[in-house]
Amino acid sequence: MVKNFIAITFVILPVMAGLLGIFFPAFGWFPIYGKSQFTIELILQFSQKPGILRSVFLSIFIAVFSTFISYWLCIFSLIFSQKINIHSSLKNIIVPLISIPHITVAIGILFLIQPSGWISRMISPWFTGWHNPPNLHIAPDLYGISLIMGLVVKELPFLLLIGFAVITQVNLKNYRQQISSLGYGLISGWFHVIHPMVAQRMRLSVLIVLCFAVSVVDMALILAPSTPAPLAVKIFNWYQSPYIESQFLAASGAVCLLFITIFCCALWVFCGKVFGFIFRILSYMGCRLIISSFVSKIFFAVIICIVMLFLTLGIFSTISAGVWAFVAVWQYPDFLPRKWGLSSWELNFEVYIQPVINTLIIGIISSILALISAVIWLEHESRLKTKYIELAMYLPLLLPQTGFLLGMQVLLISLKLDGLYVTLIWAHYLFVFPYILLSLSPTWRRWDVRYEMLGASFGFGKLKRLFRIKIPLLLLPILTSFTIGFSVSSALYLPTIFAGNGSFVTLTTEAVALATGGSRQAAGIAALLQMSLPLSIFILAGLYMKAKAKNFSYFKN
Amino acid sequence: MINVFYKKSKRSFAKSFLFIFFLKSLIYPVFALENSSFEQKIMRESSRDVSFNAWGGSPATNKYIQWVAGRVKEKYGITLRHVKLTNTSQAVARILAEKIAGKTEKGSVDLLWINGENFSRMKGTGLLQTNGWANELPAFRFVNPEKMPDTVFDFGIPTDGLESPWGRAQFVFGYNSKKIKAPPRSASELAAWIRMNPGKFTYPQPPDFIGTSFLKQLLIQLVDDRDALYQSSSNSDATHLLKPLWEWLYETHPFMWRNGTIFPSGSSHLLRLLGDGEIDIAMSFNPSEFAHAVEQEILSKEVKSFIFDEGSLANVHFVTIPFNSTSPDAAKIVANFLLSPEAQIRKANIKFWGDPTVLDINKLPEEFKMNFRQLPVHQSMLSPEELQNIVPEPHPSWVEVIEEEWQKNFATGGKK
Repeated sequence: MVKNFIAITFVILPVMAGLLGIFFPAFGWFPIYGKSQFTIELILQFSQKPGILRSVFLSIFIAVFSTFISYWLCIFSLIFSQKINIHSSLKNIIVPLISIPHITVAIGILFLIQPSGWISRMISPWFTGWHNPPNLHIAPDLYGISLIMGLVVKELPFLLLIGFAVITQVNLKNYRQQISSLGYGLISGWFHVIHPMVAQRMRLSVLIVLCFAVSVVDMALILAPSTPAPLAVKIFNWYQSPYIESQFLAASGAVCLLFITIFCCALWVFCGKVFGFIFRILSYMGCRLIISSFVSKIFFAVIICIVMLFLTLGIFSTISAGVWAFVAVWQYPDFLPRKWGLSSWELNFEVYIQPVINTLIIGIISSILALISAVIWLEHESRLKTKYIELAMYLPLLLPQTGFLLGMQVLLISLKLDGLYVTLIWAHYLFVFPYILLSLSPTWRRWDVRYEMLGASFGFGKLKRLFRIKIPLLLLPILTSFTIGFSVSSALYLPTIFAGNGSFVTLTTEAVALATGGSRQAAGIAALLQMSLPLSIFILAGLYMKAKAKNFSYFKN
Repeated sequence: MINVFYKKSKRSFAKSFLFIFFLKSLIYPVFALENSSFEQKIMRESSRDVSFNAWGGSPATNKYIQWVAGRVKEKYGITLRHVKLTNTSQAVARILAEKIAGKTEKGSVDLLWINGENFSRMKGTGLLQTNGWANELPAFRFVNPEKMPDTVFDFGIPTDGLESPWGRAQFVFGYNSKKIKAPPRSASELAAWIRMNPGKFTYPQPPDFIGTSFLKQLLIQLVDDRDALYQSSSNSDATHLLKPLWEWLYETHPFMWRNGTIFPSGSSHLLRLLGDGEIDIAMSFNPSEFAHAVEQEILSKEVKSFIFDEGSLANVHFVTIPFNSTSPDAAKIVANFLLSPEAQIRKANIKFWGDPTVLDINKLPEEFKMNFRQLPVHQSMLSPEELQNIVPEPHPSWVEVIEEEWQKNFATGGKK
């Protein structure tokens, strides 16, 4: 009961209010602009804007395609992880990559792949003969390919993290033995037997990735085409335009984006069902996929190469964004800067103290709160099934941010809650909690109850069992989700601006502001600081675990 | 004595103010330049925290605002907080949200750096103070509205004292003088240059401010009936008037960067492209931007500036106080300081920012006149004389028409 109440007051109601805040203006009700009649005219006006159809298609294409690539790369990595333990080698790259902010990745990728970028500088002029950058149609390109790449770089690690947690949950080893004894190979066995279980457990995470890709603005501003831009960027521009009509267009666009999001999710779920159905039929008919081990090996090599390519791209993009912090002069086609220097730091250093403090405080408090509530949530769950309420907790991730935040801001101001530190932390909590819940729940749910029975047999109470047995044993996943929570918080841009009234500077607001400026050096410093916080939290958590594991050598992995 | 004077009501305050002005102009320079009684009167009851919402994309500007914060703290005990915006409309939207929610006092924005479009939007929706205040600031006496009407008309809209002039912006091109010997000085020369140097020119995509300004700059040159641009767009046949502009663009786009299929997102993106050598001509609305980038070694020393022979677009940027500002009085003091010769001269200095002054140098006391004339010059920046060649901004209604038509012509992803 309490759980429902809290969920409704702190999450569901504000989000719903935010939604109304876009639906009303979209249908013509916005008294401050002197419009208070419900009409469909504005929606029609929106649909007749030049290039709108293409914007919509572009949004759908980018979202579906980037999710599709990330998902299948993740699935095939999982398949091959049955045979070779790639998890332990990937683990050390995945979490840091998750903790790197989207905008850093976008800035970095742009500088890597644009015609005057780092890759081009590496091979010019000795290989290409380019003394001046060529006029090639890449980054940004017309079809959003660079944005898709950027999204895959960010989403693949997240899906891998969830995926690896999920396959430990489905008890792969036992199935594996049965499947092999029935004569299925690695890949066909996966699709006939294991995939349905994994797909179902990963669905929510995949949908979150999909929805994020539909509504992404900060990355798209840097990497997406602009003639026309994806719908989310268009909405953002309308919202920022000084003309009154644009506010209505933005609202109509946000409603449209909501439907696109729903459509994409429906499409994804439908295709998943069809896929599952086909394999069920095949299983009934006794057909099985037979893939020769040679082909499977080649396939394996190719997939691993692609996965590694994207992960390295992620690493290099952060390097290429951060390296600028130490550059004085670096002109095309020099492979390395002509002059290194820290001159930009002098100009900027003291400016960063306040943002660093804010980012730390907001991130740590919101993640700790989210962690505590996630633990309470998961502990309660074992008794009470509250599926729908839980789904509602994911609403902030499933709805386009550009839309409901404006409506929510009106609510905050009328409650006189805007611009307070508490409000800002709450706004971050809205986004941090679902991610923490998502990353913690697989481990929590596969918890072996026998430990608890053992504890109970010692006469430990519920709380004591939780603090003395469960939490110490699950410390690693808890710390991992804390790191994820912190990095989510430290990368939030729009919620920080809206809930904080713009008066709280964090490293992200600073980085985005500087990314719009001309100086790559300043943007590099911001990017470096921005990723350094989540990374140091990650490293600290790792060190702490190592120290812990020393006295607890049995659980060392 | 003066303090007694100021204890009167607000209305008589304005009157007495003029009177004091008159007095002071007679006995000047016996009085100190900083009119401390103004600040005393204003500061007596109000809060001293000022949240200054201003675009934060330029380290030089940010640094300058930090300096201002230090000075107003020292002089008046005011704590100035710079809220760094990526786009001014963010703050306007926030003030709007506050208005919708009925928050008529203790708003989050005290002082806002603003341009003509946002000003007309805020004025139109009642987001500004009800009474004009800017023309009563002591430092306003150095402004010369007769000589420079753009200090009281923002994009042709009267400011009514609701915003205080801060700096001057002018449209300039920057070019790589190593690759271009004689820069193109008219629309037709530019078109010819673009054809000769494929892929080396582009402009930020409208509705980006700089991109739209470039189109306006072209339009002024290409149009048959220039006077029509200074009236509302609804008074003339816009389709016919804009035709030469679209023809110019249709002819040159295939020879532009990325063959005119994609455009940079803003002037900073453009600057980076110039620095990377992807393009050879860029543009800005800040005449010192290229000099500044050269100083910061973002651009090479060969980059220089030019404007069209027929003159370039110019306007003034302002600071304003929203209707629900928490400390409007302290904000006025900051606005006054921003307009003071001390602050203006530092702003005009290329070493700090390089944003030209809105003051009439001839109206200043001798020492400041001297200081202004001795400001360092920069080879990448045009001289004040060269920058005198100005064409005024067209009526604001044209902006919307141009942006809308541009979208239709070039941003639908259809035929090229």
